[in-house]
Amino acid sequence: MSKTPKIIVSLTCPNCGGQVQSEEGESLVLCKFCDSVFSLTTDEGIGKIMYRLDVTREKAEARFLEWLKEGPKAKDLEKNAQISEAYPIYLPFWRLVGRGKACVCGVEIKKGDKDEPDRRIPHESLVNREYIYSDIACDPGDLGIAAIRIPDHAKAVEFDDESIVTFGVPESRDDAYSEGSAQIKLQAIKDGKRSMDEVYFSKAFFFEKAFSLVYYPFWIVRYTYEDRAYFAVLDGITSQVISGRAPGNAGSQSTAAALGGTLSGAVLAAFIFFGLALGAIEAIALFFAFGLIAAAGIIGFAYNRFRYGDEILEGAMKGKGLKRGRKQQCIETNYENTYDMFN
Amino acid sequence: MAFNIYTISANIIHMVNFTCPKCGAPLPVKPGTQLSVCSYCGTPSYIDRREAIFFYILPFSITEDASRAIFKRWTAGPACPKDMEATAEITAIKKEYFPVFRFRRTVDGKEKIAARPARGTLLPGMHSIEIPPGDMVIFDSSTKAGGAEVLHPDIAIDSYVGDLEGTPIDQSLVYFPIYELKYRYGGTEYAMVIDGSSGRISVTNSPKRSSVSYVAVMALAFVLGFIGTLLGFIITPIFFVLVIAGIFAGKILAHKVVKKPDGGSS
Amino acid sequence: MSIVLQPLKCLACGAPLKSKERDLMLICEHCGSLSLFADGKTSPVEFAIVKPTVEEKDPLWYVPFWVVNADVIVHREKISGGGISRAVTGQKQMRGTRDFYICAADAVPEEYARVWNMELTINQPEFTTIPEFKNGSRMVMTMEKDTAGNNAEFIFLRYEAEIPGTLQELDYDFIVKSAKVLYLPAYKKPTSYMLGVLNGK
Repeated sequence: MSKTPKIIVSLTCPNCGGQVQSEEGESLVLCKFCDSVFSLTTDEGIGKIMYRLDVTREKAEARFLEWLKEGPKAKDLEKNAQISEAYPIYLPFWRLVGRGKACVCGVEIKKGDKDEPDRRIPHESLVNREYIYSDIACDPGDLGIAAIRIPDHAKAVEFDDESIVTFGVPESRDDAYSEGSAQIKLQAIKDGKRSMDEVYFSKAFFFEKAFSLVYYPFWIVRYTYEDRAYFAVLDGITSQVISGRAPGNAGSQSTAAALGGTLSGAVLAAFIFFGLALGAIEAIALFFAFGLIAAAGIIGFAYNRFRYGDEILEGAMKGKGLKRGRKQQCIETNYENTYDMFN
Repeated sequence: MAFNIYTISANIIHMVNFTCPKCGAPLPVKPGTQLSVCSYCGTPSYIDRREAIFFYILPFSITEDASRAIFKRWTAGPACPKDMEATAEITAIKKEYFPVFRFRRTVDGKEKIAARPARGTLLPGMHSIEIPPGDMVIFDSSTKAGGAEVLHPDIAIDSYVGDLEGTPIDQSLVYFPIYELKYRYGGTEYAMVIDGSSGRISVTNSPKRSSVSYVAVMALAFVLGFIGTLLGFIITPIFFVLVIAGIFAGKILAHKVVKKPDGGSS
Repeated sequence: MSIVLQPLKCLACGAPLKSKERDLMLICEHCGSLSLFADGKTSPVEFAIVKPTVEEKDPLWYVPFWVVNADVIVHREKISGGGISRAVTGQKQMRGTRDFYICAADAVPEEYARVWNMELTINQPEFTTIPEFKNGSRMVMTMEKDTAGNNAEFIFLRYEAEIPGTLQELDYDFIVKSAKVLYLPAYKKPTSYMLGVLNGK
C-alpha cells in the first residue's frame, strides 16, 4: 500500500445547516460555511465506514469457477460442482492507523570457525514507520477471514446500515484498540530487531492517526459437490478468493504418498552414498545431515498432502485439511515517510 | 414501529417501553445505538441500557438441507474415518434458537464483552460461546421463528452478573441459530452443533480417523526408495528397479487408503 | 442518528468558538484568549510566543511545539564502542530534568521537525518571549497533548541510539512533569523551512 487511504464522513452543521466533512478518526469538526467548531462524538465512540461492492455476481461466479480448477482439488469439481447460492455480505473490521516508533538494541551472533568463539556484533536500531492494523470485529464463524487489505483504488463512503446486509459487532472497541496498538508496537520492535539474534533492550510507542470500524464487502458462494456443502469467500472489490473449502483430489493424494515416500528414501540413500564415497568422517556426517533434512522436508510435504488432502482449506480456515493460499496478515506497513536507523 | 424491550429479574421478563420525555410517544430503539430521535417531535433522547435487556435474534442463513450437506462434507473430511460418509446416519436434527446472554461492561475504563449461555446445556460448543457473525435484529412479538424451536432461558441473568467485573453498559439476550444434530456411526450415537449462521461445526466427541495406514504406506515407499537407491549405487543399478516398484506400490496402496468405501472418493 | 456535534465555547468569555482550520489551539474571536482542544472539550493551556532572533525576507510562521518538562533517570546503560569519539567531541549527556521539544504542527515536514526537535532538546535554549504573533502567522497545531510525552521519551531514546557507539542495554525512568505550548518562529523558504531562533539552525 503506497498511501493510507483517507476516509471522509459528511455531516450537517447544527449551527447553519451546511454540509460539514470530517476525516476518519477526528473529533474536532469545523463548518466551512459558518466557521463553527464542534466536538464530534458518536454513540459507539468510533467512525463507521463502508466500502462499496464492486464485483458483480457474474464476475464473482466466473472467478469462483476459475478457483475450482486451482490446486489439488477434485478432478471433476468444475464439472460437477453446483452453486447453491451466491450472496454479498459486509463484514466489520477494526482498522487502526498510526505511527509505530521503536528503539531496539542487541547483538547478532556469528558462528565462529572451529576453535574461534562466536562473534557477537552489537546492533542498535530506531524504527519510525506508519502501520495499518486490521482485525475482524466479529467472530468469523466458519468463514475463514481474519484481516483485510483495502485496495488502493477502493472508495469509502459513509456508513449506511439501512441499505446493506451487515454483521453485528459483538467485540469491544477498547479491546480492539489495545490489541491493535500492542500489535503495532510489537511489529515495530520486530522490524527493529532485523539481524539481531538476542535483544537486550527494546521500547516501542504507538501514535494513533485513525481508528475506525470498516465494513468491507465479500461474496459468499455456497456450492455442493456429491451432496456435500462447500463454500468460497471472495473479496467484493478485488474478486480474489479469500477463503473457502473444496473437496480434494484422491489421485494427487496417492501420488504425493508414492512419490514423496520413495523420493525421500532415494534422496537420503543418495546423500549417504556420496558421503561414503568421499570417505572422510566429516563428509559422511555432513552428507547424512543434509540427506536427513532433505528427506524430512519431502516427507513432511508429501504426508500433509496425502493425509489431509481430502479437503482443501483456502486462506485462514481452521481445522483439518490441506491448507492453501495466503492468510492476510493483520499488520501492513506504509513505507512512505519512514525514518529508520540501523547500526 | 413499536419495539419491545424487556428486563429480567428473578426469571420474570418485564417489558420496558422507551418513550419520548417530551411528548410521550414510543421511541424506536435500534440495536447498537444509544440515541434515538422521536419521530413525532424530533427530540433526541439518550437510551439508558444499563438495566434493560434487549432481545436480539440472529436469523438462520443456512437451511436444514444445507446443514445436512455440511455434515456430509465434514464426514468426508480428513478428521473423520473414511467410511463415515457412507455409513454415518443422521438420526435427529433440530432447528433451534439458543439463548445467550451478552454483557457489555466497562472494566477499568475499558469496554469488555462477555457471552454466557442462558440455558443449561450439554451441547458441544455452547460453553465457550462467541456470538457468530450475522445480522442481529430485534426480537419481538412479530419475529418469526421460521420452523425453529425457540429455547427459552432457564438461567437467571443475576447468576452471572455477580461474577462479572466492572459496571454494565448494556446487556442483551441473543437467540442464536443452531442445528442440533444426532448421528449414529459404528453403533454409537454422537451429538454435534452446526451454527446456523456461518455453518461452523462444534463437536466435543467424534469418531477419529487413524493415521496408521497413512504412515505405513509412506514408510514402505520410503524403505523401497532408500534400499533401491543405496543398493543401486553400491552393488548394481538393477536395484534401482526397487525405486520404481516403490512408486508403483506406494501409488496403489495409497489409493486404497484414500479410496472411500462406496466409491464416493473423487 | 448516531453522531453528535457539540458546539465548543471559549473558556474565558463563553462565546462560541470559530475557526477556519482544524487547529487544536482555538482562539476566541471575542476576547482573544487561546484554549486547547483535548478529550472532546476545551481546556486552559499554558503557552508562550518566542521572539525571532534572525531576520529573513521569507514569510514568518509561529510553529507550535509541545515543550515537555521531564526527569530522565538512567539507572544503567551499556554502550559498545564509541567512547573515545564521545570523549573527544564532548557529547552532552541527556540526563536530569530538561525540556523536550516536539513540533506539534503537521504542516512542517517530518524531515525538518525531527531535526528541530533534537537540536532544541539538546541545546535547551533560553528564549525571549513576546505577547503576540508579531509580523507572522500562527501555524495550526495538530498534535495532541497526550502523545507529546511519548514523543519526548522517543527523542531521548533516539539521542541515546544516535550518539557514537552502539547502545546495548538501557534501564531508565522517564517522568513527565508538565507540558506547555511554545510558538517558535520559522521562515518558510521556497523549498525548505528555517527556524528563526538558534541562529537559523
